[in-house]
Amino acid sequence: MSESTSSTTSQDPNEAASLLRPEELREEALELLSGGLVDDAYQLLTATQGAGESEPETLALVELLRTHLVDDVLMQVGSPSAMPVIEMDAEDLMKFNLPAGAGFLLSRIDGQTQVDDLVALSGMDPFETYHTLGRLLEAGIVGVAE
Amino acid sequence: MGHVIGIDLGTTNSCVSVLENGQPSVIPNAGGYKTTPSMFAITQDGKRLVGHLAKRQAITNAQSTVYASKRLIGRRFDSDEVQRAIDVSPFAIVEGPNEDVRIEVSGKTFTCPELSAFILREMKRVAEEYLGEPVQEAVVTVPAHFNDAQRQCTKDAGKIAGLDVLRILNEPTAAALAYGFSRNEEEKVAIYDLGGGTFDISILEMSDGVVEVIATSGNTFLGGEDFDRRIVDHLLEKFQEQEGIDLRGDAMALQRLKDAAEKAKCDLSAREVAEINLPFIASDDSGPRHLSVEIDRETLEGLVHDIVEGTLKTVEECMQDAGISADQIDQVILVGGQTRTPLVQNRVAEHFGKRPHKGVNPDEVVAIGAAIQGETLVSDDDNLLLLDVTPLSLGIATFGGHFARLIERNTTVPVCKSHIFTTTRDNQSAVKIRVLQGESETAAENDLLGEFVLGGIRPARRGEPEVDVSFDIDANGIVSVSARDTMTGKEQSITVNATGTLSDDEIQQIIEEQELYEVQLKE
Ligand SMILES: Nc1ncnc2c1ncn2[C@@H]1O[C@H](COP(=O)(O)OP(=O)(O)OP(=O)(O)O)[C@@H](O)[C@H]1O
Ligand SMILES: [Mg+2]
Repeated sequence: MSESTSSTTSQDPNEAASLLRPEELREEALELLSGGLVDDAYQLLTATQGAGESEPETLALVELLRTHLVDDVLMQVGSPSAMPVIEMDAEDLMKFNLPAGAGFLLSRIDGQTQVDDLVALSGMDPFETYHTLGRLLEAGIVGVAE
Repeated sequence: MGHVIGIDLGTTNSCVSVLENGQPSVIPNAGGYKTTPSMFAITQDGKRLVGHLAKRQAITNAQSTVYASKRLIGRRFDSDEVQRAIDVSPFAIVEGPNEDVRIEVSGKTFTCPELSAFILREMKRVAEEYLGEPVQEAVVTVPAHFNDAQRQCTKDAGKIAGLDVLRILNEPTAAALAYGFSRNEEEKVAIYDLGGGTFDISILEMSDGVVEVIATSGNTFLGGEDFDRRIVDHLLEKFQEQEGIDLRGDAMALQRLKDAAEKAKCDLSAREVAEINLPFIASDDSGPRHLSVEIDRETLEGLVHDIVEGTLKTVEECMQDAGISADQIDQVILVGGQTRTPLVQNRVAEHFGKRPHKGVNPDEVVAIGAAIQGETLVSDDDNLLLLDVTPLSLGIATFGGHFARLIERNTTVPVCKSHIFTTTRDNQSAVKIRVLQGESETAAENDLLGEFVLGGIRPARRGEPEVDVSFDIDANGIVSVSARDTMTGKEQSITVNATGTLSDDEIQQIIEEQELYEVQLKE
């Protein structure tokens, strides 16, 4: 979730066509994972054309990455009952290039809705919500109330 | 002894109040809100949501979010109201086994009393958390026009929620109680109630602690939500003008627009201008788009003034029905959150030629009245005897498909009336008593509340036997009917078990099922 650059979000899949074969991509993804770059690994496998999206090995790896991503977010916030809050004023916020899904999630964050409720009412599938929340946390847009 | 709570079970919002040391307080929920949306939802991953959480995802999870089920409770599936609700509701409304209404959410079927019970249980919980003790007894309010079936179903809902419903009370009566009017000398009071989803006008006559609803009318599909919709449409147009993007098909955008529209509407009750900022509402190749619109009170008034005028037309019709002119009204009370809008207050004031009372918050006044009534009931204080009226005529079907009225509409309850009927054939040994409610002369056009057979009539020529049919309506507006053969003394009776009411077994089963979903407060 970068400032004003064109975004690399899952809204915009198949951005790049790969020069690598699926097994090479998977290896690359595992490398990223071991370096703690879970989201990058996930992006690599889900937003690259020809990543073998229907191969069982890729599917399994994607699933693993999803689990990692959700766990990471839960670890960052502390628990499912943590209370996310927006930490940025409107002006700074506008400098970001957020997809509408992230905009929606932000609009549900009111300092009174805990993480698991947020996931329930986000209108997105649970993983997508955690994923978006993770990115908002990473970008410093959202934090957790003490 | 524990507290008796008063619950305003609204179409859009519900509110709970309790008397503490003789003073009514309205109980806020955990979020600090004094009203809780009457909404229930099941999310994608099977989680059940009630109240504010359900409301905040109502559009993005439209098929699995139930709102305004009060419009359906106790009605027959083929009624106009239900058919109209089917047209406008994104959730699935289906026919139940007794021509009643069921609602399907995420593959599970619920009865209307069950859905109301989710809300009542939540209100009970809110009260218990506040009082720090269990709550058992409640007074629950219903619109004055609710018929027997609708009242019974509301009682059933209370039972399912684990409440002992001491009294079903008419909403306008509750509002009048909250203002303490019944202790004054004889007065005529008009109660203008514009809530989120329905509009009601009632004219009460009060004297010496007796409250009589002398007329009531309204529109069950008109309220604050219509104001919100007008604002949303306005915003959609503005955005399309500014950005060239049509957001009509975008559920997330619509959810945000609806939330923002309602908030702006409420802001405009206290301010002249409201700002609506919805960053990242959409995006396209050129990046994210934001909605930023300013709306002033005058614009809002332009958008909704015909809705307000429509309510005044209904007021006029109701007054004509009651044979009362505006200058005969001594007091005007505003009820319902939507009456906080200055345009509504001003137009009502102009219409009646007097300023309405608004000392008590309009969206809390009904719950407060219910709490007052609850306290009166348990403290044996007969100073506050309440008499309400039957909203519809009651009678039985007679030969040739006619409707014989035993109790005219707008009769004060409790009431008991009887009439002698006879057989139509020689040697007829049984009569079927079909109990109906409605205004048509034709039996089939009225609502069937129930039926039973009185047998064992001694052989005689037609027209000779005498069957004494009597109707009894208690203070809750609940009907029982009995028929007695005057010759033999044989008697049959029913407490009318109308469409959609549940048997005790069914209620027990629902309670057990719901316990599976109970959550407990963390220590
Ligand atoms: N300050 C305000 N200004 C304008 N409208 C308001 C304000 N506060 C609440 N409302 C509106 O009042 C409506 C809800 O009213 P209320 O809580 O009385 O509903 P209700 O009793 O459930 O409705 P019903 O009478 O249909 O059963 C909503 O449309 C809400 O937006
Ligand atoms: Mg109301």
